[in-house]
Amino acid sequence: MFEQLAILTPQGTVLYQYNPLGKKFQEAQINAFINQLIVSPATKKDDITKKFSVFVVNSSVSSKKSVKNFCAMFHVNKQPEIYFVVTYAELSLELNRDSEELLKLAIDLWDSLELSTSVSENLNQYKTNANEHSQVFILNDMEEDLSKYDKYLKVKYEESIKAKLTTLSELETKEINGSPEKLVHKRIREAKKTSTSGGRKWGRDGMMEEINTAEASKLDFSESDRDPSSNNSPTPEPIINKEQFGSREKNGDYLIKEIDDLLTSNKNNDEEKDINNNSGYFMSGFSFLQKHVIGNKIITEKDLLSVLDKLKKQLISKNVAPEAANYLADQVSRDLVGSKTAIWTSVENTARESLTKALTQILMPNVSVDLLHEIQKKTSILDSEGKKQPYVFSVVGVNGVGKSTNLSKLAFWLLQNNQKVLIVACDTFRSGAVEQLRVHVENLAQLTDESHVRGSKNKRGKSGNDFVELFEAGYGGSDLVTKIAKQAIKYAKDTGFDIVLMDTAGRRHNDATLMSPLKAFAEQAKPDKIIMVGEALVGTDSVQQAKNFNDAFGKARNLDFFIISKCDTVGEMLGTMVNMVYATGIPILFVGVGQTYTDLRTLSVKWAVNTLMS
Amino acid sequence: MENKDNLQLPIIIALGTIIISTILISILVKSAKSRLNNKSLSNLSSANSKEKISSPTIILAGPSDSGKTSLFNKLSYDDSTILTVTSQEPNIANNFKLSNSNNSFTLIDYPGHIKLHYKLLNNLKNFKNLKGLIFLVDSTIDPKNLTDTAQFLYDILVITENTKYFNNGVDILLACNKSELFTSRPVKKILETLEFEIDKIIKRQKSSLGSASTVLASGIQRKGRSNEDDDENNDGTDSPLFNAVIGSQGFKFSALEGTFDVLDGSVQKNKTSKWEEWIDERF
Repeated sequence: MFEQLAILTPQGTVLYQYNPLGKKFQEAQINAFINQLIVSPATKKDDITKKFSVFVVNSSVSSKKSVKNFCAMFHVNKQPEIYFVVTYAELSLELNRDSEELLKLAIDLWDSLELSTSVSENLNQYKTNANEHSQVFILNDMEEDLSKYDKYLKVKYEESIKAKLTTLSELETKEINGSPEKLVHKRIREAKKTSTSGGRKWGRDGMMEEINTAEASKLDFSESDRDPSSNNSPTPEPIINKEQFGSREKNGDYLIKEIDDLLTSNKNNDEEKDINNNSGYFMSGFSFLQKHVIGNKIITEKDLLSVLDKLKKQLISKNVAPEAANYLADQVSRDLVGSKTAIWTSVENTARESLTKALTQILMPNVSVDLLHEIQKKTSILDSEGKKQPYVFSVVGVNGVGKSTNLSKLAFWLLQNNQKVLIVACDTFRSGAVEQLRVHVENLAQLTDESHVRGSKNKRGKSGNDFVELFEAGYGGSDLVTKIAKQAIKYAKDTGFDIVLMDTAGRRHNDATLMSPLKAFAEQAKPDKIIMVGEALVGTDSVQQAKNFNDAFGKARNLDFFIISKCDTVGEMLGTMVNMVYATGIPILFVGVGQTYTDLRTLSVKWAVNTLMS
Repeated sequence: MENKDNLQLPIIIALGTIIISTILISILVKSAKSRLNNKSLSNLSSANSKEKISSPTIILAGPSDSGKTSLFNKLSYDDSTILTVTSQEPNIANNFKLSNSNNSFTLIDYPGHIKLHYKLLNNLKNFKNLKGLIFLVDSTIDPKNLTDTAQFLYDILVITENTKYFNNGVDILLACNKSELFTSRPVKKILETLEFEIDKIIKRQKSSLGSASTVLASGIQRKGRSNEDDDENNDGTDSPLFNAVIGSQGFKFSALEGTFDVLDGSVQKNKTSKWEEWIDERF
């Protein structure tokens, strides 16, 4: 059984909500869903149903209130934009199917009662006030329709539940009677078929009835064959019905018939409308002008087709993965179809503006990126022994993207902010990795303290000085990595370092044997921030890289940030940024823009978007 | 007959052109009108809008779950019982008057989700007649967790205190919602915490890394197209607000250009009269 059905506007008003158990409306759950929708619109979408998007909402995403993990299946209606959301406990075949049915029913009913029209009428009246002290509420004059909607939906839903129970109990009796298995299978299939068609159904005892209905629908040409329920309704109530439901009111029957009629009549209406639309051919000349010069045109999917194609090509030429470009194009068409272009604005310009908006939304970080604050917060808390906890970063990424380089840039910035930094060589695999870090540490030590002699040891006998130090333990297997990490954190705590920066070995993202140690590493070392370095040069593969690295840490842990390196080498081709954020919903913290220690910058979303759009 | 025909033809043509042009003009005027009405709605959430909005405006801002949409509903429909969830788009009420008042203004409620802050921050400077900004906070939140809220308020202040956009600053009301709840904190405590946090943010800003645009822009974007509005690229670190703090004994809301008030209230319990009075005083 589903948990909640909610119908809402993007402005945050709940138009309708239904809860099968009659509980209070759980805002927190819907909020968690919207949060996930905003944060990672493209991720965690499963193709279980072809019609609706589904994803699992993690409780970790909603930081404030404890919400259990749940699934959300949703549909977005365009013009007016309305979200239909069904939440349910877990991804299972049965629950998925039930929710899909319910969602379909909710949408069909909504359409057939023409509630969307009323909503958009009220929306368009925002300029004209009900009276001058009060605006027209979005649900103005809709109480009657809504209560009708409520009644219909509940009746239909309860009906479908009953039907399901009936088929279930019947199945059981069948099995007890020892009927051949084949028959049972056929029955299940039949049950599925009727249930997806949204019609009512009742128990029928055996093959006879089944054949009858099939024949009836074949022979009966007078009614549309799309609607099995209206075919069934004239047939007398089957005997089993009375036994099963006892005293079901005749009233309810009529109501269901009424709803079914409503649902079918609406479909016919739609078809008629389509025909009407086509008759306006003589306006085509004017609409061409409207499209390109005058503006004030209602945009259709057709208008957008060529424009979006052009924009997609532009994005792909800027290194955006086709997958991400398609997603952005979808966003634009969702945004624009049915809306009006501004005066003197062509469809293309409107689409460009909308694309700018979509890009901005993707690249905007979804968490506060104030690292210094978080560091201060953690290091200011002393544990029972009076020692401060170091703030631990670990840097991961594919080979050669610049993990060590960006790690030392990060270290330089932290050193400038008077933090004591311990750099840990967790790359125990590639020869020279430790030595490379030692060079960085020497450089950094010299930059913080000019009197530092290269190659000298500090008072603890390690490379570096009091502010920056290298923690190394030679080369070895993957067991050694977690060992070093744990030792390093303990050492940092004992010697009073504020920051621990862990460099890891580069690894190919599609090699499971290389990726699997990451999970253990994250569980053992418990870094506060896991940063993935991705290079701007990489192109389409960046989608997969980001996804695989994000998944490598298991369900409980995600990457925290990206650093996009080598941005100075790609010119305008900044698509990698979009790809990586698109694939994971994880924000970009810094971008690497050059070779020196100071060439680490925060991302300016505006600049990135403008570069991509130019 | 022939002569007459020759005479009539140009007249018909002339009449025809007149009729056609009137039709065209009327269509244009009509669409221009509807454009005017649509303007504010279509642009308020766009990413990089440059259009100026000159109607008097009151903005509702604040973190998620502080009650912005509820307050919006309370003010504009006089109904505080409407269920609301996290907003993704701004709510707008045009040409609207508070009950028992004659000042008409536009009321806009911007979403509070951190990823959607840009909708407000990118557009804020375009409001040429901004009468006031109501920053809602949930007064039940532990002061320790107000850093993100402070950051948001700081981001707003950087724009409103910038003399390039607003000459005399913007009047801001810190509205502490949910005051009826047992766990709500006194307004003074919230105010002090926010001042303290903003002070820290300003100091941190100074030591944070610069933005990528300033470095790369010089290398990449200088091809024909000049780097539009160089001033837009500075992250507000040169604003008077920012400089005023350094050297003085810390950030104080009283030092702002516009007035800064704190008032508690509750949308749920219909205790919003103080806030409504504050709005009235802006005109």
